[in-house]
Amino acid sequence: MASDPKADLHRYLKVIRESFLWKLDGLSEYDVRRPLTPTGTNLLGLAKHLAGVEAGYFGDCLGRPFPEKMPYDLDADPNSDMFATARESREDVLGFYARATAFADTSIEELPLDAPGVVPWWPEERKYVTLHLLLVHVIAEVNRHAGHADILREGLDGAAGLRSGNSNLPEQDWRGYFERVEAEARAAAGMG
Amino acid sequence: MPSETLLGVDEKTLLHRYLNEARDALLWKLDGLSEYDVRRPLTPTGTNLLGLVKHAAGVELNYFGRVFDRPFPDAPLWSTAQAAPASDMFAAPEESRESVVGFYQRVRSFADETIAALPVDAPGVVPWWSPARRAVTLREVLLDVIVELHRHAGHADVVRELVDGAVGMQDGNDNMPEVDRSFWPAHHARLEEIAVAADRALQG
Repeated sequence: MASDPKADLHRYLKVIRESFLWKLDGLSEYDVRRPLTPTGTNLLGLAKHLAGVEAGYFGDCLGRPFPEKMPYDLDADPNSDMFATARESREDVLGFYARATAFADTSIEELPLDAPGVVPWWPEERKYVTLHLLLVHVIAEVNRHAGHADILREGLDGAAGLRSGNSNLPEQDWRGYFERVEAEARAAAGMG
Repeated sequence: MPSETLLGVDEKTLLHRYLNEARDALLWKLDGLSEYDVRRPLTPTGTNLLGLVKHAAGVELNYFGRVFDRPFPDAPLWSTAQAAPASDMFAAPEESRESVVGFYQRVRSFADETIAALPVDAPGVVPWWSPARRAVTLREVLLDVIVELHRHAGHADVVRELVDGAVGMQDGNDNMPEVDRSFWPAHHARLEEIAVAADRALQG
């Protein structure tokens, strides 16, 4: 069975965007913004960051600038794409995400895989790229951040799973499993 | 003309490079941790760093083995359909860190042989997928494993940060903003304040 590289890549990108957004579903305003690691990782911030990622790689890098001003300034505040400010609502951030991904989809649909691009913030020897490479790069990046979202969400309310409608987790007594893993970690470390 | 589309990098080389990034990141996340900390479950479903490496080995062994009719020799029970639920997601006390990492290195070489031997359009069958989807190509399998391992590398990122505060994308390229260490506690406090205020504002 032959497969079409661009269609495969675009499908994987759409699947992971949906899984990622699902991780924010049903959470309170506090939980969606709460920093849950020492560097402040939070779910709504990941959405803002990923919107910027798509607008950048599938916009400027391909000579098709995203037509909006970015809602952050990394020169003024180096981590400002990783959280929503007090003036930004959840709808503002998710709207930015929806517009950035729709814009990215247009670039992906209109350009051939070998369309040339430049990533100005990458080292000289790697910065000259194609749409093909950018697609693989962004798919990998969104998946890694979706992995962050998985752990944050599970820590907030215990909700876990691959995507809506398919948790990809076995049915079992997770409390008992957790206790066993903890006990075996202690045994392996000689902690008794 | 896939070989000309990537400025000298062919499609398989590109996919292989991104596969290696996730593999390397998963292994790097173990560096310098105690025996307890590499195994400690950090979520209600027991996510732990050494278990993620063991799981990655099972994933690659199956996707780059059975799918292309090149079964991994002497596949361990935990990597098969007969395994107890989630027994591939943690190392038993008798499995040393070295044996888990060493096993992953062997699986990795085995997977690399499959990737090198087959063209990117080579057909395969994923028996554990639904009948409608199980006919695949090496291209799709490479992508599927790339997305799975990058997602697990994301799990490892947060688990590692919760264990000892260490962060970063790759060994030698943390991809974090260049800020003073003291930036982060203040940043965290600021975000917590915003989150509390946003919640209050919404509840009137």
